[in-house]
Amino acid sequence: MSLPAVLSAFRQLVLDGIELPASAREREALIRRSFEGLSEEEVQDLSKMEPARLQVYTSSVFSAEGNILLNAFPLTLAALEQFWPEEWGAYSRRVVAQRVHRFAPWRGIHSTTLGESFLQFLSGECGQVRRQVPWLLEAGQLEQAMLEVRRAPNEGRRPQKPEDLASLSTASVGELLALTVEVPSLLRGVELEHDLLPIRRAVLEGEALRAATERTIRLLCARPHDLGVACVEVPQGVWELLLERRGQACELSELAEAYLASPDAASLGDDEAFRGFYAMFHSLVGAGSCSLGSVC
Amino acid sequence: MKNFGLPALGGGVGLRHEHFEEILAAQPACNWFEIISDDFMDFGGYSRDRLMQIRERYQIISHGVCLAIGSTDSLDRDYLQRLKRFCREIGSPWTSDHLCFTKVDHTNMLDLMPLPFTEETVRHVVERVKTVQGELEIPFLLENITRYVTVSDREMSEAQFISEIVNRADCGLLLDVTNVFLNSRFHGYDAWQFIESLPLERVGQIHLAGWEPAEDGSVIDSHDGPVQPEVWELFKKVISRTGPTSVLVEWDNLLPPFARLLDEAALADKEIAEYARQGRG
Repeated sequence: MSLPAVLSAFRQLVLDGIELPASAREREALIRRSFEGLSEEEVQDLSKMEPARLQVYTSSVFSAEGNILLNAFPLTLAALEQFWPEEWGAYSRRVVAQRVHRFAPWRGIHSTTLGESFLQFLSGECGQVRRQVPWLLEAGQLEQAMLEVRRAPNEGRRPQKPEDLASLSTASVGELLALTVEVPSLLRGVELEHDLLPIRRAVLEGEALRAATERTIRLLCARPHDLGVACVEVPQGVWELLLERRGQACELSELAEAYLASPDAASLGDDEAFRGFYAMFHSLVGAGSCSLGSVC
Repeated sequence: MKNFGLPALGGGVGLRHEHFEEILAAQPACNWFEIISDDFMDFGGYSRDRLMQIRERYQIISHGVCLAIGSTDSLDRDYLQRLKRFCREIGSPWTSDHLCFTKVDHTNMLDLMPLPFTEETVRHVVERVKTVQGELEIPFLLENITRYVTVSDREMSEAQFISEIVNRADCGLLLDVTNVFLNSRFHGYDAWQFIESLPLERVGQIHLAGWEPAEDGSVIDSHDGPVQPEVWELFKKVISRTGPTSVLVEWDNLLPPFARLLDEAALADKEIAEYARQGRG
């Protein structure tokens, strides 16, 4: 008797698309030659299972995985659906999940690990779709980052609201720059070559998939005060600094320095640059990408 | 010992995120909520926040789907530690999972897969349940699943399989009456005879669920409708043997308004009260 061999055979019959013949005798022969380590009795037991009943499991598993993918990757799936290769047959979320499984089986128990398998599938199997949708993989990476933020454990205190910065309105520039900013561990950074957030929003609102504008964008995704997910676009230096300090702190002066080094800020006067910096800081706090720590 | 020594909480409702705000705003009377522990225990954010608020006002009972008690992959000790911490955090006096496997060969199967009813499987599961109980330090219940196929019943029947495991592992039984009913239809046996042959003193909780038949008349355990009359009849017979217990009415898909779920839980309370009124409580 070999329980591991029986369970493994069952897994392959349900997930790996092995077509079982209708006749019990033919099923027995197929199972005997397909799986190692089964006793003769186990071969007979497994061959008694009706293919249609096994199919209930196959459908249920891949339908559920397809629904998880739709919830987490609405933009990426909309693009896949529109440019689904004809030779892959009719599009359905279930078929997507089945193809993901064949390429990179889901090893973990969380949706984030299914997302990792999906990204491997996008980069390893979807070359033809990517030629028509050059941003396909970027969309997957953006939505995976958002999923990771949504599912991340809580960290200490609740994210702040932008209104929490009201007390800073009377502080001098020197006092402000001496403040410490805390960066959550759950912060995720995504670098895109296409402006995907507007077309993602449109897809979520039920609109048709639009073409994406080409431009380099660096997004920080985090958990705001309403405990959803928010992404903000920031200059490269700020993006790099905050990602480097995940789970740690930095001084507001460091953030200001990173902001001022960006090409957009370099051409601004002092007042304008400060206003620009403060607006960015405000949106970073509002998006949960950082929060105000203690005064140094 | 009745009800596996656990408190009998009466009719309860599955806590789903679609109802969080309504529950927090209206604070309806509800004996208890069951949560899928795997949907909460490793995560933060909105759902976790609302759960902790609801937990301040209501009894929460943990129920899992990812333990994979029957899997031949090694038991995930880290998962057990996280589950233990989580049960403490939400104040769940017991927890449960399914008598099945949900992963094997390190591959997530996402559904409750049936095990072969063999002595080898019994020994394997009993060993793992003992480990689980040792780690969790709270009572642990195993739930009977719906199954569309029989992997092996050459050595024993399903009822014998369940009984052997819960008796030898000394754990509780979460009796899913709907699953017994559906299996009796799929596999052609008498549902009540099946239930009667189980160690009913180990039943610490009951699940009831509804389903809507598919267009072709076939039925799956879809949790998307009210509990069917045949299942209520079976439930009445069950509590005549087990006495009052904690009864969850599962409704996970095509969710109705929250008040409709409370109505279903109230039906379970009514049956339990009727049983008590007849002087048997």
